[in-house]
Amino acid sequence: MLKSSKSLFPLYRTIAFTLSTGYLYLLYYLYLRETVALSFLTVTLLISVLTGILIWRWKLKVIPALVVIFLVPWIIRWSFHSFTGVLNYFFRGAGLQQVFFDIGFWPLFLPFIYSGVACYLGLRYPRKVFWIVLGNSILFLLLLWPQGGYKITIVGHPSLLGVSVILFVIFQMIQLMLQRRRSPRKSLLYSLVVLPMILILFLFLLGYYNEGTVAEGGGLLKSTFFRFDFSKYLTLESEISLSDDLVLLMRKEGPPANMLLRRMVLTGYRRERGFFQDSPPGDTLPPTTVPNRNISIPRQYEKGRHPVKQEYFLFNFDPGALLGLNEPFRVIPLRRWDDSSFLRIYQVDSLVLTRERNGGVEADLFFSSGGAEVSATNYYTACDEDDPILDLARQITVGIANRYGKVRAIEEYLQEHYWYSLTPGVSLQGDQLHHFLFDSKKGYCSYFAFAMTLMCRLLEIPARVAIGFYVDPMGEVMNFYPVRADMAHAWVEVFFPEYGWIEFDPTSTRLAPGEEYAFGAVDAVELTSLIEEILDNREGISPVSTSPEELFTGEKESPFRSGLMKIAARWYLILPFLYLLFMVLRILNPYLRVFFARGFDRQVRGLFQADMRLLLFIGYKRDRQESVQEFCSRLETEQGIPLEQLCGLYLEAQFREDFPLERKQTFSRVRKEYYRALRKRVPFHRWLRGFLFPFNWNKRDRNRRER
Amino acid sequence: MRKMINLLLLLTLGLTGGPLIAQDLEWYLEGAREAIEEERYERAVSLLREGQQRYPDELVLYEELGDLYYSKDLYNLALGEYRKAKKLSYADYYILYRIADSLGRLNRDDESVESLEELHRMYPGEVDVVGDLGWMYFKTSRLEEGEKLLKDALNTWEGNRTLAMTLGTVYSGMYEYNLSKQYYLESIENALDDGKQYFASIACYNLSLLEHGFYQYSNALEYTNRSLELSERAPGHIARGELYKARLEYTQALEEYKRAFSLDSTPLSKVNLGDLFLEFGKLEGALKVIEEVRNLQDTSWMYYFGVNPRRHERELHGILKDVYKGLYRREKVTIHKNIFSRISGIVRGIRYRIKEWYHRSRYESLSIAEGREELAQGNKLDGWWFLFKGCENHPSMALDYLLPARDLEEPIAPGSHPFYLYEEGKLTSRPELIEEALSLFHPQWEASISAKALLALAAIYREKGMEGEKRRVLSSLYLLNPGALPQGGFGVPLILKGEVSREMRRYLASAGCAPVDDPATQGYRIILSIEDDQFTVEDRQGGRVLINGEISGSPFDRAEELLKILYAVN
Repeated sequence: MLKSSKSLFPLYRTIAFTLSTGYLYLLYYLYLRETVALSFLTVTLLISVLTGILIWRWKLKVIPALVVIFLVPWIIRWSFHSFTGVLNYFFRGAGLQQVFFDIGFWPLFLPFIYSGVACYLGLRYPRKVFWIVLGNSILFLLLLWPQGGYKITIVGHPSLLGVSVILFVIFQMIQLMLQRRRSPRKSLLYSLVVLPMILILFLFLLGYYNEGTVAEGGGLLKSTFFRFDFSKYLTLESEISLSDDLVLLMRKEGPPANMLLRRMVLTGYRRERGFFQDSPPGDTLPPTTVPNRNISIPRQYEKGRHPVKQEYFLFNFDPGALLGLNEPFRVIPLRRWDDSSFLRIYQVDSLVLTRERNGGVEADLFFSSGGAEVSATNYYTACDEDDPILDLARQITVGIANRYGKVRAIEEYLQEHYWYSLTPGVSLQGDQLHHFLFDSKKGYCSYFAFAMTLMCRLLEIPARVAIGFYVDPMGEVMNFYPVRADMAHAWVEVFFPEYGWIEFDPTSTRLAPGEEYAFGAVDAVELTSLIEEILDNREGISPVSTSPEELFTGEKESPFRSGLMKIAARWYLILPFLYLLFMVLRILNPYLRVFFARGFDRQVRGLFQADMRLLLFIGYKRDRQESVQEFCSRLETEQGIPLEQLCGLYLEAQFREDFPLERKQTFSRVRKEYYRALRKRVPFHRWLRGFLFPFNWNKRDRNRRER
Repeated sequence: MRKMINLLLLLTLGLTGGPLIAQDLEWYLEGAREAIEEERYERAVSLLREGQQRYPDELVLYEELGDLYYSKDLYNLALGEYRKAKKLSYADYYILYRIADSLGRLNRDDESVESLEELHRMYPGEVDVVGDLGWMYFKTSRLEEGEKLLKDALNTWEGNRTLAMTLGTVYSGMYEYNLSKQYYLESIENALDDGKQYFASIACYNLSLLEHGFYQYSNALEYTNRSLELSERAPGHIARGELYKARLEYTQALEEYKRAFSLDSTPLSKVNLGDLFLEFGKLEGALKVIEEVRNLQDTSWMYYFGVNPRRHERELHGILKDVYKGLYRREKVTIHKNIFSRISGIVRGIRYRIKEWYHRSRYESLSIAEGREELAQGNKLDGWWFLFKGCENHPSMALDYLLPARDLEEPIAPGSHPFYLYEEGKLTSRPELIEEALSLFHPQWEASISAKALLALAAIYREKGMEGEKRRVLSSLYLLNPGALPQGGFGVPLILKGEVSREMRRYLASAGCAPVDDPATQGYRIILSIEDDQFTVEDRQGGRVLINGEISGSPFDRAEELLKILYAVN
């Protein structure tokens, strides 16, 4: 019975291996799906596993085995080409299959070799399965690496990638648990130790995703694990790229004037940190999260403004994020229909001020004087002294007396004398803004917004940075405006008494010389289907009831997600903690085994082995030729550590048929004395080292111990 | 009294009830039209939807909504509304026509043909339907059906220029040069007689494509010029750009494509621009332009062109595969300053190779699919040509399709002979065939294909170890199109004169220029002379100075600058 269960082990291991490697094949297929059929991929995996098994059964040595595995795909290819070549004589067109075969052959050649070799080695060296798990993990990371930031292309939704990570870990755990010569309990413990390590790897991957999203979102957007939102502080990156993923739809009637959708304003400034979200003392900022019920925001400034109604259909954007044209006075969350593609729908009513050149509001602004200044004027004009920038600001505004004239002059100066660029370059002095203003003269929107806001503040004009989306009016379809990730934008808001905060967009529309960008477009099919869905379900969109029983609760951030994010953000604490946990488990492992062991003899043996391991960790190594007894005698004579009696009791437990309670008690007493002596002999730093780095790097000793 | 009041009320309702309901329908329609006028589309949609619920049998409400969607290019939505309308009135000409049209714009060509056939059966006297059906037969490669339909129709509507032009197009698809030209000329004459210059311009453009397809380049240029004289349209500039490109006149071709781009509502000018950049080794430019085209998901423009999404995608993958192949090969002759730059070059090379594989795979699959479909429709020449292109990497298989295509095309278009020689030589690695093709290519109009043939020849000579011949071919290629060399993985063989340092020689050697001092070495023709910071490149045969320039800096900088100037195309 025992024999038969042992002989089944290779089968289970092979199945586990095929499943876990097959999972990698599946991920790989998601990249290849346009070119290679799933059936071709499946057959490749099965043949490679079969090759590995057969070579193991034939007991080939490693080098010949590798040669055979390398040759098998070529033999198959040659056979297929010969067969279809002959067939082509009889059935014209059959030879075309060679083309399709080769389309699949080349990308699957290396995976074939990997799975064949790994299968063979896994069967030949069952105790080295860890290396296969490690190899699989590295391949898994490599497969997911191109999916960073906004580039999730292989699955429909990023959360599926999260699920795939969990599945992958499960498959690897099964593999680890099926190692030979390990008891199930030991395997389980081993897997429980390895599992967090694999998860740590993926936390690093998550960090990479976050970094990627900031750069991909034009230095403005970042990932919030599964979706995207704006970063609460702006950084000036040396290089960014743009993604054209659709993030939301906005519906607005009327002419497409003033299409800056504000997500938030960044009021705080520190030279080393840049602009960031902050609370100005004595001033209320516009809301940034979607409320659960209708809210009205007090209208502070109405002069020159007219109401504009907007509806937002969030598609791939943080559902709690509130967007709106400046200045919102009412937000109405809307109920979604069943199976909606949208994460959230809401209506925003804003009072919009449209500047008209050469007349209208602009003329009024130009000649306006008086009126109350913003309540936190000092805050909105606060910035570090910067003489070069102040000189530049004065030079631009020389001879201009009124605020509006100065602000317009700065806006126009930046638009006309600087270039738009996604690769502003690195400042050798470490000051990206100075590099932009005085050297390279090229940057993306954040550079322009930074520069203008600082210039205004240096001239003591209250100003702040606004971030959100610039909406392309040309993209309008039936009053719907698609908003893509690459429309993320930063601009400037300047305060004018009586009028409030007014937007200025200093970003240049001239591309830097020699630079050209392929700005994306929304997938027309996707856009059409979304608009169709909205129009079809128009009746299902209604304001969320404000009665307490029916308060909107649908889009709260998942506690699991937010918890995971918090953990990921504190990796510098989590990693050492997990390490310490691992060390504790490693030291406790033999004692736990003793706890579960049946019979006093087993307990004594387990405790003694644990003590031996501890000795090793604190620096007492057993020589290669030394027996346990000799080692103990040596320590007692040379170091004065009383071990001989303890060793005698251990050997008694090892070889005597019966080991009564009295002997166990004697063992415990002797062991106490031993520990007392040990504590006296061994300095604290060696105990600490033994705890923090409880590794035996001497392989020979380890081999001997296991023997 | 109460009875009197009730009676009065009933009378009032009875008298006003009918008009009230009628006004109600009008109210929905008027309200919707007003909303559309004010660009409040959702209001219009909700009004029409509401109207549909209240008056589910009123055709006009579906038609109105369908038209609104259609006008906004939302053809899927429009189709849905028209289909609902069709259920109410099966035989409504306008609705059926719009269904067929929407299907065509959604590139659901086979369904569109079915709808048009249905419409033609119902309304055989509608000439527009015949014209559209003929065009869709051409688009779906059902050429014989198209020919029959249009010939019959021309008996009925004699002198109809639209039908004549469509028939000309169908004949061009059937490789019937004379018949095609005859019908095109008829339609042009007819249009000019009626003062329809725009139509005549389109017909002239089609005729120029026919002439180009049959290797009558001068005629093609003449008709292209005429097309542009009649009306300045993007396709005319594209056609003229293609002719300039065939002559390897980069600046002129670029100018034409730029003009086309400014007039174009389709991505065709960009596709051609990408192809032009590729031809002259401006690979990054080509990549950028083609990626931009790939980002455009709207395919409704194809309705008016003889292209379908598969062919368009195939063309894009074809260009991209060549771009990545070029980038990979260029990496081999790129000089590196240090080991890190070399390593990153290797990594880049691997990336290019993977991308090349991807685009080649897509190109091959799409070519084979296209070829099979053409064969299924009985269009052997196109079918075999597509299949040949699909298995170019499997020479024995490719020959199986190339040779029958040659046997079919050469009798009807003798100008194709050198093209087939070149393709056969490339597949079989027989340099003599390519040499023969080169001797037969038109020196001016077929300069582009000559450059490609020289590149293929150089690769064969390299494989066969015939270095002298290879250098001879590369020198000729350099004089024809210098941008083609690095993307082919070659450098121009150089005879050095003047002060050329050892490092400089080393860099030039690693750029594949195989520099020598002895001008008598076999195959060498281009002389590079360097004096201080000045350099000159000249053609030994005839002593023509090709480039004069200045280089400075470290040996690496000088070599890099020199190579950049050497392969620059202006």
